[in-house]
Amino acid sequence: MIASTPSLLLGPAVHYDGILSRAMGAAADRVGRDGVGFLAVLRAGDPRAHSAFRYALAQEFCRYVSRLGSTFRAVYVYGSTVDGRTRPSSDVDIIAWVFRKSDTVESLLLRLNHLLTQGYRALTGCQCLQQLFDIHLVDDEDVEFGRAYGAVVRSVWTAPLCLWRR
Amino acid sequence: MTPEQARQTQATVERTLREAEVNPYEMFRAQVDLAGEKLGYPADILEMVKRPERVLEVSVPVRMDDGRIEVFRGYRVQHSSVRGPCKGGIRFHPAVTIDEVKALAGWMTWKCAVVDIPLGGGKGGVVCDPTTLSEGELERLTRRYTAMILPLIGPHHDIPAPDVNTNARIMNWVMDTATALRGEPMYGIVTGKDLAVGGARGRREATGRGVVIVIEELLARLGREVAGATVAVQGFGNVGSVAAQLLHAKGAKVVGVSDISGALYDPTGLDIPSLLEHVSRSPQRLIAGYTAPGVQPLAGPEVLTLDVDVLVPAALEGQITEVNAGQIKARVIVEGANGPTTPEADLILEERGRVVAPDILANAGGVVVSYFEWVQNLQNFYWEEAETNERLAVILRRAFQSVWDNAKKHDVSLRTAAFMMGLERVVEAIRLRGVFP
Repeated sequence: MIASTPSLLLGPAVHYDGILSRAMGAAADRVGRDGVGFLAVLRAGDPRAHSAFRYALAQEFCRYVSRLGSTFRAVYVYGSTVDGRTRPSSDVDIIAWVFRKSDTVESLLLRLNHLLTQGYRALTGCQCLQQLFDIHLVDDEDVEFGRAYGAVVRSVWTAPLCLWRR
Repeated sequence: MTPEQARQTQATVERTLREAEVNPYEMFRAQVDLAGEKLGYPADILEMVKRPERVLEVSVPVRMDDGRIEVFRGYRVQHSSVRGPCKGGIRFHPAVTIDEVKALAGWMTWKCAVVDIPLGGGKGGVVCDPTTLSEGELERLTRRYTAMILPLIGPHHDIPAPDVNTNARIMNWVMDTATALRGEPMYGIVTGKDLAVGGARGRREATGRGVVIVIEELLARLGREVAGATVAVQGFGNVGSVAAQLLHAKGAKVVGVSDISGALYDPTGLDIPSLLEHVSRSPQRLIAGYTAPGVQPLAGPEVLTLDVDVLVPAALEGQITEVNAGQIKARVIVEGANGPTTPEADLILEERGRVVAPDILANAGGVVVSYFEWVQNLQNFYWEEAETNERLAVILRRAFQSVWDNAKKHDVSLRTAAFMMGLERVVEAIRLRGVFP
């Protein structure tokens, strides 16, 4: 079962229940199919289905982080998810703006990404995907001074799409 | 999408996901990568510390009570012996997988390294449901499994211990089987045995005692002391009850405790010796039915959100979640259980300035006294309990200081600092020893 790590020493899994199924439901709605039909086109590698699924996954990511206190300030998505070039092996490029970049945030997102990637592979049969999300953390200073991915957030030429803001 | 379509979608996804499995070994590797990246270690060194040294799979035929032979699958994994002989439990569980055993063996390497005892990591498991086995079947399974892994284990190579669904009686059988097959006393081949056959004095209390030592150290760093501190303890088994007893004896006010039968609260401090007396007389060893002036019953989960200085979750994993982390008032949380705090809750607690002493350090008292048991077995010289307790305190206080310093040095949580500390020590041993040939 994917619900939790069976180990008593590795600690509990992140609480990601429902992220994949809600994203699939929303994406199926968007392309006008029922759940079973959507899964079929997803497995067939339909680019429109994959694009819709990734966008919905990014929205679910926002919903997930919005519940976690006030660490997360905003979430941006960019790359193939928003420009329609999605393939079954494409990841979802995300910039997460946090109050403070800590090891606890990194560890949480690592676990979430790991579990969702395994779930995605099981759903789509696509084993070539390395990781579902490619997440870049930025903090206030990164954005203010345009450092690293903070520069992408501020960019007027390649502005990412802001999916959620606190 | 209609509600019915949504339900169908949910069912389809859940059915598909049931076929997928979380791979704990992959998760372990990812955690090593995360810590290794912070420490700037090269990929080849990290690959060495991620992979187990040896993996053994065995088939274990057992004559069942009805006369038929059932063949069970068992594993023993030696993750690392760079710091000393491998050490780690044997679990009997239907969900045991090789990847789980590999991950847990790796985790034992880290646990031993964090407290700086000269042992490496190992783990074993048998895929079985011990609740369906008779006493005789369980003994035959244990003895045959021991015989099958005997070429790999030994007092100077790999020392098993109890884990999920295994206990002192099973460890006694492991020792006796090894003794019979090797033709010489093999007390040091396994720890967690009964006292009469080479067990260590103070082993039962060791984990709870270690929790209290970590609380003392953590409070001292925050300018507080145990005497006068208010404490809530979730779980009143071997770990929680011992921690509560020792904290009470040191002058702390244990205002709340809970177990599966409910929770008790007394703002002036519970009379822990009286509660322990009640539990020892209870047929199921539970706190239910305890009454005393000023003691109020609570709903079990409420013990986690009491207004106290110290919270000790010593029950099950996954108790502090994103749902209740925002309501936790304790300044300090010391993890007596394995994995009581979810990663989401960790983040919320950190944001609220709560300090979490991680399980890998806080409940390491057990593995330290296992080490002492092995040392005593090798010397055939047995210590008094006071000596065990004194040595345990020295090791845990030093380990806490190292983790605390590491957290400051790298500006990370105590949890990450402990993991990094373990990794640093393992990598240092690899570098000092070199790579053969």
